[in-house]
Amino acid sequence: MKEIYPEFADDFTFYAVGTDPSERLDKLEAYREQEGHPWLVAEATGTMLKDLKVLVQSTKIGLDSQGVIIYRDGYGQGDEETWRQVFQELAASAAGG
Amino acid sequence: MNISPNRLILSLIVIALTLGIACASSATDTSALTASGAEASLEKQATAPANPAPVASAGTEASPEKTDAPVGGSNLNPMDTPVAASPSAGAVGSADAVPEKKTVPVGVFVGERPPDFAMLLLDGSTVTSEELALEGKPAFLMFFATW
Repeated sequence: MKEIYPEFADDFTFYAVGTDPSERLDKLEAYREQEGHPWLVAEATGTMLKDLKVLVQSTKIGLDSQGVIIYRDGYGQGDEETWRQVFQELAASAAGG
Repeated sequence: MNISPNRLILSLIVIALTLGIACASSATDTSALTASGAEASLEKQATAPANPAPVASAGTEASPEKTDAPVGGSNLNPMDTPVAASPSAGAVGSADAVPEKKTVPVGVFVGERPPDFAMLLLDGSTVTSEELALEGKPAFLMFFATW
């Protein structure tokens, strides 16, 4: 995923959202740098995790330009081809497609 | 031929009244025509914008397909569905057509709009789902922990 996203970085924003309340942004950022991830890290506020029903690690949600979910997967789901397709969908959404 | 002033005045009054009634009658007929013409015009205007409506409603009706779509990476078709409520679609209909916002149910699955959320970023700023949608910027959220 980290190899694919840079191609689409201008089209949509990738947020890696921490799920462990004990892991604050600085720790998430240190991990991101260590892993060479090309996306932003973010911390969920309020009841975001509960509201979005994030129950498993590595849950992924794609939101189009109107904020509608076009993709949702959990841990172990998806592959490079799928993500490329999703990213293309998001990019097309950004372009008004 | 002598005509008394009183008689002359009376005659003039009669003529004036006759002309006045005639003019008033003519004016009423004209306004009646104008009014009926305006109604007809309004009816036309009311029916004319109905043409783009089916396009919009077709797109809106298509959204439940998204809701029915199973959660999974294989289902990417909802993005192929034309977004009827997009500003461009609204502009095509008529000059006074207001772009509608796509009506989407709130939920956490494909085809739904997630409940409002907010994320804190490293620079101290906050990004909300509302802001993302308003800016028209797509987003991809991946939830993780470092362990």
